[in-house]
Amino acid sequence: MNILEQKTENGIGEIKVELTWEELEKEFEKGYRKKQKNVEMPGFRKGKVPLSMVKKQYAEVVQAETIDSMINSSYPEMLEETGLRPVAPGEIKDIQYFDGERVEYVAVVELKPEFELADWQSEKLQRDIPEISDEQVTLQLEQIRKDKAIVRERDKDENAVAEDILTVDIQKLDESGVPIIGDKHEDARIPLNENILGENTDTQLIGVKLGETRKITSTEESTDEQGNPVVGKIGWEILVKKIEEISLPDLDDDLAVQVSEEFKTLDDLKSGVKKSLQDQAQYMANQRLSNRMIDKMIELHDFPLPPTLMAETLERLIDSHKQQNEQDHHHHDHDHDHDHDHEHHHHHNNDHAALEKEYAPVAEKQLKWYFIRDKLIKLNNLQPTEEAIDEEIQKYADRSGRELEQLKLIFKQGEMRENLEREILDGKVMELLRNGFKYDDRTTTLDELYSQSV
Amino acid sequence: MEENARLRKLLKRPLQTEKVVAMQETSNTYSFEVPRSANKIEIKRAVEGLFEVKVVDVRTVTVHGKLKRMGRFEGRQKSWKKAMVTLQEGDSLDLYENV
Repeated sequence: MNILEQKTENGIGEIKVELTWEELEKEFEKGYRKKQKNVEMPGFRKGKVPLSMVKKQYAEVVQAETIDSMINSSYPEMLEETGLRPVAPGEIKDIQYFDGERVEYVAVVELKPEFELADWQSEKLQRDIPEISDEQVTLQLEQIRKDKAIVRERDKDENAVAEDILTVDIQKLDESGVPIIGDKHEDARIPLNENILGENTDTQLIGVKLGETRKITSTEESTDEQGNPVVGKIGWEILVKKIEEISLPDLDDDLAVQVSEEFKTLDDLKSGVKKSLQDQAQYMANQRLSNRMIDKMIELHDFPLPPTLMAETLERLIDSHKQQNEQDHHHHDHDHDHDHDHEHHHHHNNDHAALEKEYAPVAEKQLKWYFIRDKLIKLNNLQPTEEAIDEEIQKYADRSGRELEQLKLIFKQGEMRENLEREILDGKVMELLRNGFKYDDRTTTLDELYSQSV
Repeated sequence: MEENARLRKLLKRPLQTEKVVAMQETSNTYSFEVPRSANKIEIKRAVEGLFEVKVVDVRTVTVHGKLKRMGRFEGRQKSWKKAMVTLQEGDSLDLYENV
């Protein structure tokens, strides 16, 4: 095999390759001998037909097959010789056969994009420094009180009061008080402090007794045919099946001990709550920062992406979107009580072209980041060391409580190892970026972090 | 041309079997199916005329048709004549030229 010509343009390499007659002939001969073993002809036992007859009769077939397989086998050899590293299976074109002389072909390969890393270290990014407010802690403590509430079922002659929780069968009524078919829910839970049925509905329920049926009214916002908002009057018929009295525990040292053994006093609990909120916020802030770093790196680098790889990535995204949709659909079919999100259903009908349009920027981003990440790894010689792998496995063992040696067996080979290595490298790349960028620090509350992440 | 056609008729088909190929290799002898009426002299002329080679020996044999049975009917395949033509050393026939 000889390389006749080699050129690269826009990430696509074209290599013209020659197979010499000498090597072809050798392979033809092998091909004939192989063929001879299987040829059946009247007058001969199987495999006993003379080679000369085989050659005359099967020349074209054998030569075509041989050239085909030789092109395939010369392809990796060609890559080695040229030092090219394609990112997708190459394409063979322009096969030319010169009888008694040579065979020529052109291999078209998509190559890893060539680009230089930009001066990203001089870029400044916004960094959130989470701060947990006292209100946030108070809210969380209130939630804990609710979680630890003592519940008592009220007797027949007791009336429901605010803060109680009702278990009811509920039938929706139209403006004239006629039940709307299909709008009945059984065993619904209504806390008498949230007005979940509409404004001022809870007050209408205060005082009900077990077994009582009560009609209440409410308003409902909808849109008319022109799409203008309209406020309509509706009603509910409610059969009370259970009334639960909720007594919230006092906010004191007892509650702290009840929450966890590690807390002895209310102050312990407060600082514990604050710390857990702080950790949660820090995690989100880190997440935000990672996204910003990746976005910035993508923004800073512009290079052409290999088309096949781009198409594959896009196809993968669309597939997973479709799968997700199918699952959701399945779910909804079995969930009649739920008011469906109809927008969602329209998505099923999205044709492929629309999905391609929607996901093309995502695919581009993914692929770009893949190459930038790769470059960062190479340039900084990042490696998943054995120690790092052991450390990760140890962490997992601690978390899951499984035996270390057994986990090592699972994680030290095959796909699991690859995943682990990728995770470790991801961590290292992120660390490198985190240490490299410059920052504009900004104090952020937990609420802000939540709203940003949506 | 006419002569050629007449000679061609004498050599109905070359035979190609393992045994025939072995004879070609060991004694430069080629085999043909010929008309039952053909004689050795005609065959020699035909081979020499068509292939431009020198024939040193011709042997012939009548291959008797095999008995065949189709249910209760019994019959016999046609008998035919086989000619084995030995060529002078160095000569050879390209029988698959027009295959």
